[in-house]
This record gives sequence, structure tokens and C-alpha cells, in this order.
Amino acid sequence: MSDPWDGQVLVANLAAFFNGLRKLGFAIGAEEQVLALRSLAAVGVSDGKQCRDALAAVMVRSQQQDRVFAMAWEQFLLGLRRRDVRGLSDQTLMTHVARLRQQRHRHPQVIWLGATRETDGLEQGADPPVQLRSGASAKEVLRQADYAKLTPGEQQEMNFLSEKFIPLRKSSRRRVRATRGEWDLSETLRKNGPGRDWVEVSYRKSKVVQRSLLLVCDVSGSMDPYSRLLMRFAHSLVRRGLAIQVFLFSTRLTSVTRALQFQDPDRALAEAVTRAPDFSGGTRLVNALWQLQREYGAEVLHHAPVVWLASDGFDTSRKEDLAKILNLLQRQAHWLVWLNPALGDPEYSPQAVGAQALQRAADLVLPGHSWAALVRAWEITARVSRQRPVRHDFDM
Amino acid sequence: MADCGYVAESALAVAVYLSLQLERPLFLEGEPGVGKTEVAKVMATALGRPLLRLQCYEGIDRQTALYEWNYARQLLHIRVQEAWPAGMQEIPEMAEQRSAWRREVEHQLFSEEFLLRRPLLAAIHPDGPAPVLLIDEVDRADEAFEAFLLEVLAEYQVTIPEFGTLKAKEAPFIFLTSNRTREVHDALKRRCMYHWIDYPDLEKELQIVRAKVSDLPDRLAVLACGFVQRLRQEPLFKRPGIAETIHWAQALQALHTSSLDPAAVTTTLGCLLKYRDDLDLVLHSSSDRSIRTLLAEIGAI
Repeated sequence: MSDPWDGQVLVANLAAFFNGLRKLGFAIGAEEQVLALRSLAAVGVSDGKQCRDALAAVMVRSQQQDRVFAMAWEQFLLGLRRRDVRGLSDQTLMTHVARLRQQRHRHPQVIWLGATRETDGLEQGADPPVQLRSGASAKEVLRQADYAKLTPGEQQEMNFLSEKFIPLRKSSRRRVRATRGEWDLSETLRKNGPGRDWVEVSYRKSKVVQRSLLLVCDVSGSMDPYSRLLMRFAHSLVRRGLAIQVFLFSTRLTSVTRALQFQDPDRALAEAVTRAPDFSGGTRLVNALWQLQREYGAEVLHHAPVVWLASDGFDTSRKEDLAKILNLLQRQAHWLVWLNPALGDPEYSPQAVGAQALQRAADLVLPGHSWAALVRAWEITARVSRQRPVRHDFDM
Repeated sequence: MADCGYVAESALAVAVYLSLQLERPLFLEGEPGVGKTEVAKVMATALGRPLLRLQCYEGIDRQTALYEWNYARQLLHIRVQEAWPAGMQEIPEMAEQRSAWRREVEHQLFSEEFLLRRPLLAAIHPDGPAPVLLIDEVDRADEAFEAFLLEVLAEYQVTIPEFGTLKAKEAPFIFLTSNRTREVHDALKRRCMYHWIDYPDLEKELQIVRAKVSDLPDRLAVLACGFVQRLRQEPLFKRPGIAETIHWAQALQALHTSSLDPAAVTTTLGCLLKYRDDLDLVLHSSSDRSIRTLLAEIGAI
């Protein structure tokens, strides 16, 4: 830093800095502000670096925020040097970008309209097998229909579909009070004082908690017709408060769980698409899965989740590489489920190398071409996930 | 901290200083093996306070973290007390004494004598000076336990139903560490100072290795640190932390290695890489990632 450091200027502009950080997604309330001032008072404002470290210790809550904070601090210092700039928070590059991004993607993207009614690239007959059964409501038709064959308007209509989902379950190591099970000696004693003629026995048993679901969703070009359906489904799972992590990939992998937490489906989906820069690109399944292992593995694969891998299997990687990574994933997953949209077509058989590898590695292969198919897949998963899958070694 | 053999960057030192000054817990996050736990140990030594360690795991609960009644002793106590006033049982006039006795025993039963103090309670209500409390790997515990920690971290107090609320006279110095196997809730982080510990740069790592493995020849230490730094840039499943570097340096020293050649690295690579896929990547891959290439890049051969 060539400029002389002036601590008083920092203190005078601190409110603007907080404002800027808030726009970058930092949770800064009155308590944090007081704490920040107290910590500045504790270290003194004579040294710029110490001020930065002190503020970081109070404001930062994660590794990502650590990086963002470093950038914001640089911007803030730049702003302090150029006194002519009015509102610092309004002019920093990052807040500007963040605001623009939000405004631009409030509305459904053109890309959603790209899912045409004609069959594009999929080896399906020209005649859409949508059957209008008598007595079925319009909603039911939407649920059952192959998503690729709906008009954009009908697809939009599906925003109003909603389901009740049973959570996936597993037993935790935590013990809770129960009406039967094993004896809880400590609780029994607490309840029953001495000198009583009868004893009221307390019991405890393992607690049942949610098992998380990891949804890895192929959004490459060949999956275009179904990407929105899958994300829409993922969104409704997230909104139901189920333990679920969502990743999109085509050539790279992106985590979109946080983006899908917006209530408005259009906004959530738009937000997710902007986070995935490679949306509807090529498929690099092996790459994406390795990235999942390296960058997020500790976080999302730690507690043996059920893994849903949604892909059509059009991947040109080497067979051995694919088998290796899928084998690893299968070992970490409680159940590895392959959701294949192409299974909606009765004449489909897995021909591509990727599809064959997935077929071999997956514990369960389920169709994922319509809303009803996805709901059904969830029900099946919830039912089987209490047991362990039967696995055989598959050759690499 | 430097006196106790911990090489800390200034940001960490500021965070530690602040959490001492403002009496807030310090939340340390970072990849495994970058010295999170070590910070607490070193601070306990530096401050001359006892270190209490609470290792979290899935299913950890009140009984293991806070307190537990010693119910085996309680049972024994009841039996002893019952045996003594046997004569009282038959005489109807002594009903009042009987109930007084019963209350007395009940009172005794839930006194401190029968309380087993687990780390959290021991930290809040210590016998000696306020200790340094290390809550290790808090991400392994489940969310319910996190919520339970909130009262302890914010108010430095615990509530025992039979006993009332115990508040710390002197705030203990609390460290929490997490390996990020899951996202810890914001409510918990809000009550803490936060610091992310990254992998160190070459200079700092060299300082650490020199401090920990003092007998290692200087050139070998430089090369070893350089090699580890280079190795971290490879797409590994688990990148080696500082703990692994120190471990490796000790191995090199134990084997009296004089120079860092491919053979020496291959035999001791198990200290750095703990996954078969990672070993495969370095040992059996094409020339651009082989040990020889990596060594040549840092100028060892």
C-alpha cells in the first residue's frame, strides 16, 4: 500500500463498508456492527492489515466469504483513496455485477423456450405418445406427459404442480426417549426418587433422521428437453425442506442448492442457470464426477447419501475411467440411482458407452421423463432406502 | 504462540487476540491437517491454563458433553440408606420422620457428589482457573447438538434441571474446529469469531518444518517443502496438509535420507498421500505427473 494509512477515515466510512458487504450477501446486523467496532477498538486502527484481519474475524463465516471479503476490502480501500466517489457501495464492481445479475434473470430465459415439441436429437418416434385418458384432469395429463413433448405454455403450467414427499430415512446414533426399547437407567432414576414402592421405567431407542439426497443433474445439450423438469422437481424438494444437495453439470460441475431456495420457481431456476456457465454444453461425466469428489466430496458424500444421477448417458469418455469413478461413487453412496429420461421411450436400450457403464454401476435404474415418473422414483427410493442394496463387483 | 512452536500468520494471531479480548469463542475452519487443533493446544500452554477437549461425533448428547448422574453410585446410595433405618418402617408414628428422611436422601442423591462433570460443565464450572475448551470437529455432531451448544457459547452458562443454572465466573477460552464435512449453522457461527486456515505458503511451511524437525538438513527441508507445495497443485483427492509434511520430514530424517531422489520419494510417499487413487496418479501416470518430473520442476534433480 503506497498511500499513508489513515485509520480515522476507515472508521468514518465503516457504515458504507458494512452496506457494501450486506449487498454481497454478508449477514450483518446491529450485533455484528457493535462487535466490529469493539474489535477495532481492541486492536487499534494504526495498522491497516490488523484492521482488515479484525474485521474479517467478525464478519466472515466461511471460506467463500473469506475470499469475497478480501476483494471487498481492496475495493473499499480504492474507494477511500478517491474521495470524489459518492456512494462506495453503489460503485464497487462486485455489487454492480451482483445487482445486474439479479435483475437480468428475474424472468424465464429464452433457453426454456428451446425445448421444442419436435423430437430433437432423441431417438424417439415423431408421434408423441401422450394419451388423453377420459376422466383425467388437465393436471394429471401434465403430470404423466413426457416433458419434452409439452408446449412452453404447458411447461410453465407445471409450476403449480406440487406433491407431498415422504422423507428418506435412516437411524441416527442419537438416542431419544421412547415407550419401549432399551432401558434408560439414568432417566429412570431421575424420575423415581427413593423409597417408592413402584418404579416407572423409562426407555430409549435410536432416533430416526432424514437421509440426505444428492442429485447430480446432467444439463448438457442432449438433456435440454428435461433439464427444466429435473430442476423444477429439485426445487420443489428443496422447498419442502428435505435434505437435498443439487449439482448441475455439463462440462463442469456447479452447486445450485442455495439458488433453488428461492420460493418463486422461475426465479430459482433462473438463478441456478446463471450459476452454471456451461449450461447445455457438452457432457463430461467423468470430469464432473471427479470434481464432485475433490471439491465437495467431504461435504456432501460424507454421510452416505442416496445419489440420484440424472443423465441420458451420452458420454464419450473412456470406459475404464467411467467405471472407476462410478465405482467410487457407488461405494460412497447408500444407493446409487440412475434416473434416465430416455427410459420414457419403451424401445430405448442403452447403447452409448456412458449409458452402459451407468447401467452396470447403478443400484437402481428409473425413468425420469415426466413429473409423475420423478415422483414415482422418489417413492421407490424412499421405500428401498431403509435397506442396503445388493451389490456385485462389476468389472472395470 | 511462536514461543510454543506454532508459526501463526498475523490474521490468525489477530483473531485469537480478539476472541480473548472480546470473550468470544473462536471458530476455526480449514482442510484436515492444517493445524486447527494445534492452535488450541498451543494457546493452553501459552496461557498456562488446562486444556479440555471435547471430540464431537454423530450422536453426541448431553450425557457425554455436559454432565451425567453417576447412577451406579446413586443406586448404591439408596440401598445403603434403605438398610439403615429399617426399624422406622413398622412404627406408624414415625411417618413424618420417614418422609423427612426420604426428602433428605433425594436431596443427597442429586448433589454434586453424584455429578459426573463432562468437558462442557468442567469448562463452565472448573475447580481451578478457567480452562481452554476445545470442541473438536463440531461438523461431525448433528444439528441438535449444535443448538444445544448455543447457550454455552453465548452466555457461558448451562442449565441442569435438578440444580439450576450454572454460570461461569471467568469466561473459558473456547475453540471450535470444523473440517467442513457439512455446513455448520449460521446461528452457531454468529456467536463466534471466525478464521479460515489455509495451506501455508512455502516460506511458512519451511519455518514450521524447521521448528518441528530440527535435525533435518536445510537443503532437504527446502526441497521437501517445495515438493509438497508442488504436489498440492495436482488434482488430488486429498491434498497433503502440514501434518503430513511434518510426518514426511520425520520419515526422511529417520531414514537418514541425504538427497531427494525419485526412489526416496517413492518409498516414503505413503506419508503424504493416503488414497490409492492419489498414489496411482503420481506413481503410475504419464510423464507430466511422475515423481521425476515434479522433482525436476522444483530443482531437486
